[in-house]
Amino acid sequence: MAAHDKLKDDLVRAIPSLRAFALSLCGNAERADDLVQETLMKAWANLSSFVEGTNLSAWLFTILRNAFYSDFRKRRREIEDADGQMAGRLASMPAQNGHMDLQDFRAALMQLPPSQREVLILIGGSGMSYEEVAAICNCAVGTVKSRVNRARNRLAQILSVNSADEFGPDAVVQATLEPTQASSRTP
Amino acid sequence: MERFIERSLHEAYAATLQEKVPQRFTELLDRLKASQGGGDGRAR
Repeated sequence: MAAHDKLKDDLVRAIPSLRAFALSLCGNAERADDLVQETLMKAWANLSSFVEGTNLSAWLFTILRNAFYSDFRKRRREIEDADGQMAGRLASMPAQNGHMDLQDFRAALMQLPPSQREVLILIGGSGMSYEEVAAICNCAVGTVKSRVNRARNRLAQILSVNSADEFGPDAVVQATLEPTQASSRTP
Repeated sequence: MERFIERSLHEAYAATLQEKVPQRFTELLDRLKASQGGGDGRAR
């Protein structure tokens, strides 16, 4: 029973990361928790395929990812609609108040294709290496790198921000500053 | 821009990491462990 106790502890420790990954994939907290539950059940049922001493998190992430894509294929249309509605609901133009918050970012993230979203979250959020992510996503390291690059560029486009300057003062402050700047340029 | 994206990725991930693990998961693992009995499911 000691082995099961240890395994249960290991799985419990992995749950927060699994939930974060699941949420980034499907963008819906309830569905994310269903994915995590499915992952835990599949992991427990397939323990014989886990090589002790290897990366348990990576193994669990792989199971979760497979479960997500299996579900995604089944409900493709529904998910696309849901994503579109969700993005539309959450998206607020940063220009309205001159800054973006986490909700804006999450909405933008959900507009990326899942294949780009997952690598971005695994690399940028969980801090995994390109090699670990390539193993989880069953693709080449170069593919992961190009997906991350495309994802970052696409996010920048979605957020309609091309430089750090645009995170500066809001429209009112900018309008106040502009005449001053213009007049300071006048000889 | 890059810094904003990196920071937001960390924040989005960290926000979920900090949430309490829902009881449904610990209960599920307890049930799975109980149903497994005395055997060890690990092959290696």
